[in-house]
Amino acid sequence: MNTKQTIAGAGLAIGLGLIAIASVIGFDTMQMQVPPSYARVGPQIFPYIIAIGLAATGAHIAWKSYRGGDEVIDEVEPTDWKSVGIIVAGLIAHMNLLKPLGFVPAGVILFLSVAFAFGSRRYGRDAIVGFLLVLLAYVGFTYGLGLQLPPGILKGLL
Amino acid sequence: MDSFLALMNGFATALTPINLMWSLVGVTLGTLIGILPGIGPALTIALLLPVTRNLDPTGAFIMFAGLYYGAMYGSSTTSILLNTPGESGSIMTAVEGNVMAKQGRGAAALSTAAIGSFVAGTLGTLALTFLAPIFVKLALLFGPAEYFSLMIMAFTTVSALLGASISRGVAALLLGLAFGLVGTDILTGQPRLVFGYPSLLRGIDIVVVAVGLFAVGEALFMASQSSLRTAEILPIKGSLFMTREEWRRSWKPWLRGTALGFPFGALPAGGTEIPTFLSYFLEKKLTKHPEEFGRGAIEGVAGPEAANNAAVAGVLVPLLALGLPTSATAAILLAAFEQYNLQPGPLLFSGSSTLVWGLIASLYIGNVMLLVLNLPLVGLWVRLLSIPQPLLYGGILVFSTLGVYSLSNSTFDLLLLFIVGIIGFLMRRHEFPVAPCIIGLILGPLAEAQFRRALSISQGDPSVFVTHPLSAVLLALAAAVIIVPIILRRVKHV
Amino acid sequence: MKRRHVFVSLFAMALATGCFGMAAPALALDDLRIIAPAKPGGGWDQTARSLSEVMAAMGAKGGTVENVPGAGGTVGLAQLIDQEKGKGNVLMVNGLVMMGAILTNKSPVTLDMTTPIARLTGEYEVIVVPAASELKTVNDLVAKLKADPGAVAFGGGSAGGTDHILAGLIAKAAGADVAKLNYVPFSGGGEALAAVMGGHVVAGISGYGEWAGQIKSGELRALAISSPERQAGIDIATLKEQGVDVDLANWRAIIAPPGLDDAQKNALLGAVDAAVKSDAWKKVLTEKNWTDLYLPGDDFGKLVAAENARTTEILKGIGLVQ
Repeated sequence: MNTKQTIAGAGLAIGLGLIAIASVIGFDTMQMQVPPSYARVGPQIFPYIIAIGLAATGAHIAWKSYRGGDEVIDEVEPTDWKSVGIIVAGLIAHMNLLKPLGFVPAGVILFLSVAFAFGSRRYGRDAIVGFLLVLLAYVGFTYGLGLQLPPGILKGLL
Repeated sequence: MDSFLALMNGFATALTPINLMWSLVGVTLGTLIGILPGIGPALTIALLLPVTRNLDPTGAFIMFAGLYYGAMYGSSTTSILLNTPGESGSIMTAVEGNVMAKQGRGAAALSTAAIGSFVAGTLGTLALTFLAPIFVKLALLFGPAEYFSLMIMAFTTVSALLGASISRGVAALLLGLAFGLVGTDILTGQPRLVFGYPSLLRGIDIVVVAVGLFAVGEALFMASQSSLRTAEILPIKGSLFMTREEWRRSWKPWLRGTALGFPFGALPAGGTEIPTFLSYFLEKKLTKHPEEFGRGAIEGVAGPEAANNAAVAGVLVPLLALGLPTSATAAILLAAFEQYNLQPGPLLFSGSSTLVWGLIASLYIGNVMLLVLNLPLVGLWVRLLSIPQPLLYGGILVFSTLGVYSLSNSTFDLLLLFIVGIIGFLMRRHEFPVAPCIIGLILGPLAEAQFRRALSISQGDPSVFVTHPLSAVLLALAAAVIIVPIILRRVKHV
Repeated sequence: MKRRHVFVSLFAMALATGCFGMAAPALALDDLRIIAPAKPGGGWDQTARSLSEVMAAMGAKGGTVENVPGAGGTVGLAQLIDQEKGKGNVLMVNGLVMMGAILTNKSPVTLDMTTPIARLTGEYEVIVVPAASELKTVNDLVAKLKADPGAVAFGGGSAGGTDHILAGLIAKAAGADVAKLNYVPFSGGGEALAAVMGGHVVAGISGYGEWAGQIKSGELRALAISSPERQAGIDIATLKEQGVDVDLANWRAIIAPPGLDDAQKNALLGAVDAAVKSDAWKKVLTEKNWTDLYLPGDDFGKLVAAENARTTEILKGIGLVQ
């Protein structure tokens, strides 16, 4: 019984989410200043069509879920939100630490968070593998190809 | 037969030890960068330009050509094994290829991709050698009206990917179209859906969306399901290489993929992605096993992989014959020609025939090298799958973020990747197909721009789409693709 | 900080007295960084890399090129103004294209917030038609433009870019209604070139170098070049000599962050001056077919102001900018 309610809830949420995206597109498009053009079809027509399409699809999905249809299914096993959260945290940490700490430390943090989320508890192995992999990527791309990866705290060392 | 003699001279140039070495360097480097999303042949050649300035131009171009082909090989490997397309041309490969890999048929998928790429690359190079003038004429026939009709035809391919629920497939397509709206409107220079962020003005890169939906979304989804997380993947089930049955099902898609890919590459606004969509669609329509599509059909790997490699050969037709770059990589190659004070176009063939024919000959050699390098490694590559999942996905995310960051050295792209990754996770969790989203993102902006360009040139007269003969033919084909199956179904029921 | 200033002034003095040679130890610009506000491979990137190589050969330390692409260079401009303020070791490449981008994107950061250093190079634009076109001269084009501006579909680069600005300037000089200009932007040089060669547009506009091969081989007919006088080695009449009073260079320049003191500014001016006058730079110019349009300091600042006024007027006339 509970699962069924969640299913309907998820479908409703997704449908309403699509309608929300459609309204953002519609609203943004209304604000545009349109220069004259010979095309008659300006930069606003396609966004409006897409917004209307999204709103209609969203409404369809929401309505069917509300009516108890199987429009959105969730028959897979229950989601382990903790693991998802750990990777999300790792990605957020990575993008914020990349410039201040540098590519290598930020990369190792991301690697460790993913490994942990996937259930690994062999911290030593993970840290060593992660460090070597990230270091190799950094050195290879910086010196081999001249990419500009942020050195961060290792500036001058590498 | 002039071309034939010139080609033989070209082989004499390309087969010198030093040029063979450059070719080897190119294909190896190309394979490596192809594996990485975001770092493609265009960026690599741009970064190598200053280094190669003092090289002999023939050697440098032989290396660049190897690099271009090699990147396509490398990116199909990661598409199949890791569900992470390295280049946008191998997005379709991931759809069927990764399912095959998870069923223990990764080696077969890799083999059909490698052999298909070889077949397409070689046939494409043959077409480049002998049929270039025809395709040059074809390329110039396409104006904005014709492109728009072509895009409409390409949109029909989405139907092959909609999956079980039409409304979910359409929602994914529309989401991709919405992603494509973000950025500066190309016809008026006005910002759309930018919300005041200057970083959004350049639009959302296809690489960000492809990596976000496939690699990041997949990693989040795998982590969220404890049974998937701990599952052991069997790298090889059955025979290592392709079975007789798999050969039989692959060779026609290779040829059809080549026939689709080559002309598209030669079109100034063609690209490597669209022929892979068309090829996938065509194979799904023609196969005797339609039920296998989405569950690991080998035709769905063989066709698109041939198509993207043939497109690479096609790109070289207008580049060498007209000096007309039709892809980002071709534009950089053009800059490389200019660095050596060479001007591509008809004058190049007469003025620097050693270089041109050496380059074309090196394409044949590069293809052989790639096949020889890749086939024996197939067994080794699939063992990537036996790496414990925590380390494998850790590595995938490290390299995904590396590639996306280096698109424009901006952490803003990492934020976009993160957002798209979350969307990809939700789509996977609720069984929304992700491929239509990518198709929408790629085709939407092209279709819109060509539509408005055509109308601007005709001063607002919409009849151009049907009065231009080529455009009318393409529109009729698109309509047939949709209508014919419906009629057939009706007829069957009656 | 103090020590560095002394160093910088010493360096400026050294320059002023002319004792700057190849063997001279180090430009005081330690850790020189040049921002290219575009992806690797394009004109701005190549300018940045060439300049950095020449300056490094003359003793500047560092000399790294950073690519900050996006939005016609305005993403890089925002970084220069917000994050590099007061730094005497940072340079950024820019050009006429950025001016249009600032206007069309309604960018909050503008060029007058930066420290102008020098215009370096430039490229003139050509107006071409397909070989089979009935238009033989610029006057034919102008007559057609006056009769029905909408019937002359111009193909060229991005909206508000150099090609678009030139189309607007020609229409204005021809006495046609600028607001009725029919300009069709294409993404990337290849697509515009194909549209002209295939006869899908009436005329095309681009930098001369990009289409030089097709002009020489006769697939495109050049009607005019946008230089003030004829260019050596290019057999194309100027707009001016054909009675259309327009000249336009797609210039590339180098600028520095805001908030520099005089010593910092002079050091950068001196270092760039020395680099531009070196043989190595001259070699770069010939190799890349760049026209030398060196114009340093305040004169460059004045040029930017004048170009900005002209660009704003045209883009407003076209309707791209309100």
